[in-house]
Amino acid sequence: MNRALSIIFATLALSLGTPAHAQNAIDVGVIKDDDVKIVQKLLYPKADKLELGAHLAMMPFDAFTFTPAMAFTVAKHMREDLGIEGVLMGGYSLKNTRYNELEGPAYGISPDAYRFLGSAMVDAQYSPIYAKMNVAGQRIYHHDVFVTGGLGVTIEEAMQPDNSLALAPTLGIGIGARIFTGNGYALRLQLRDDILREKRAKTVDTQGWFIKQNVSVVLGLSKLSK
Amino acid sequence: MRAVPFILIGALWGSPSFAAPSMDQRNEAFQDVNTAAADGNRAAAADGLIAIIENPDWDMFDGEAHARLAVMLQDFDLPYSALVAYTKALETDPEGVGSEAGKAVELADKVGDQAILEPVFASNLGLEVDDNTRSRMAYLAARENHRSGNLSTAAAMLKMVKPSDPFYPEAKSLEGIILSLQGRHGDALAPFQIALAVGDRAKRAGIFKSVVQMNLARAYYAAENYPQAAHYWAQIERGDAKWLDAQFERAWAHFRMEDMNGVLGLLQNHVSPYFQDRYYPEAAMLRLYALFLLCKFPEASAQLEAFQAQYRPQQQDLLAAASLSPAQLFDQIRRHIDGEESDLPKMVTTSFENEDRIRDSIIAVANAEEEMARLRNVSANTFAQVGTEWVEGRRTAIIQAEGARILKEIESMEGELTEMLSNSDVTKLDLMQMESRLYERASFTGKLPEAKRRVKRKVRARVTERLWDWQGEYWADEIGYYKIDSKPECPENLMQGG
Repeated sequence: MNRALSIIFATLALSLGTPAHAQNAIDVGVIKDDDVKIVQKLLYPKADKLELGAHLAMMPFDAFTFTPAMAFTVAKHMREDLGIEGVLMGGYSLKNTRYNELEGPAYGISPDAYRFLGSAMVDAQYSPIYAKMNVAGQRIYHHDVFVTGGLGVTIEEAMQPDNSLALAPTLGIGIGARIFTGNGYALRLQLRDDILREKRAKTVDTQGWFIKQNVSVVLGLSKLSK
Repeated sequence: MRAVPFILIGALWGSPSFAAPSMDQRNEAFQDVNTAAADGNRAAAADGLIAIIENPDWDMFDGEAHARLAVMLQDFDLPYSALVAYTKALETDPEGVGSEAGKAVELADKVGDQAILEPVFASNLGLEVDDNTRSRMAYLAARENHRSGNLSTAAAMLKMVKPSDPFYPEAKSLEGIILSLQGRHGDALAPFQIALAVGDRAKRAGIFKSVVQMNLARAYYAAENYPQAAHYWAQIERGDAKWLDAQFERAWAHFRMEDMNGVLGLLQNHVSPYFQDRYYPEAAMLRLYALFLLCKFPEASAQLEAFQAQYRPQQQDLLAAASLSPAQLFDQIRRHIDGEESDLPKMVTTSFENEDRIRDSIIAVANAEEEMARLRNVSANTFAQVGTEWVEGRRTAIIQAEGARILKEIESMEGELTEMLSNSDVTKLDLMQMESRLYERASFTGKLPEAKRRVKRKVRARVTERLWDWQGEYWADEIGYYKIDSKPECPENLMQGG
């Protein structure tokens, strides 16, 4: 090989044997970063796959309640960046510190709060961002970021003694990330805001519809079909 | 031409045997053995058989005595000793005990030492055995002849391996290798293709499949069908143990197709920090060559510096490893394969960790050691002492043979590296000269004239792929996905394309 190299060296030497006129810094003879691309096979593709998920959720931002909940999701990904997802969520709102304080002897009132019981939503899911992160210089995690939006219904009941039920049409929006952990599994973290248009029995005469927001933080595990 | 192998086989068909002894002699020789056996004293009978073997007056009964001893040792659940006894029986009196060949093969499979039978079958393929046994014998005999360099004989023997034989895929693969070694690269393609197909049907996954694919690609390469060679190297999956080798060899195919950017893209993996402890000096040189042909002299100089920085310490490691004895080397490789700490550098252990032959040898040695431990419990018996001696001898022979093979490989690596490193100093000087002239020319003209490209490539990602820009950092998950599209910077009408 060195013999072959020597012949080529000699040929090139003749061609390049030109005197120097200036010594400007010129970016020649190197492989530039722009010359290199990485065309990577998608390690965790979603297109044409079904995704089943189980999630734990909580609604920590409500003025009077704290709600632990669980959710199950089924998503069909038509494309890498587009899918449709059904969400069934169930939970039970508990009185928070403020509610208890208002109920106490100092105030003696019961806020007109409604307890979350469950919801059924159909969301469109758009995931335009696919990225990866290196954790502590060791493991590389691929993840995507998605936004969701959809419609559905939520069922709630009054926390006051009459426990009247309210079935509310709901608009849901959200943003989340899916961290792929391998073998088709993904850890999902999502922040969603369900906006309810709720008809409350006790105030129907004075205020026909309440607008309520159930903001939830959802953490779950999902499995993508093969 | 084609008659030659069969003539050779004919010459090997059968070995001389002793003149037939009389029945009286036989009764006399085996009298004690028969009496002990009739009394149910099997240990005494086995000891009696040893006495016959060791008595020069009864040499004519050596084969039979070994064969009978093998049966007894098998009854004592001493399969390795029994295998050695059968081997000795077949060596001594192949025609007399030829019918036992099938049992010997079964035992060899059981203890993982088929190699012990290869020499004896290579000399005695014409024994009276059933078709299935003959098929297995032919494969083992072919392996022995391949190892000894008798390629025509080995190829002829492989024709006797039946398609129903469990080792038929291996036999076709060996046939392809032999044809390649004979320089008949075009003829080697069909056996390799058959090996792949029947291997798939026989559920031979993993290393067998990748080795056959590699050999198929090599055959195409040697037949100068570079696109097809590249295709088969590309079939080796990214997670495969042979993947890095395949990438390197595929780079050679791209080099032959004058696709220097393809070469650089494939070899970008080898210069990544993840493989700095592996042994690919030729890949570094090929990359340097490709850079040179694109007139990337400064980059080539940097590549050469990196080559020296990486491989000088590795050369010292190889020198240190070459000072170990064959037995120590085998032990170190064994420890590595068993998942224990090994003192050998990774570039050596990776050469062997996925090799069937060394794994078979390790299994055989482990079985030998386990049997020797059991034989020590009955060491008062003569047969146990002799069995221990036989098995210990076989264990030592395997360790020495495999250790010597490892040592030879290390010495070969070290020798190759020494030569490359000494040549690299000369190349470095030449490159520095070329580099400075390139700069001079560029500063004189303001820019370099663009050379013609031989291969045009446009980097684009399919639906199932992601396109990332390279920003100078290596990510482990990006290994294997590099695409380089760098313009040659050679003066027009001189050379090469990318």
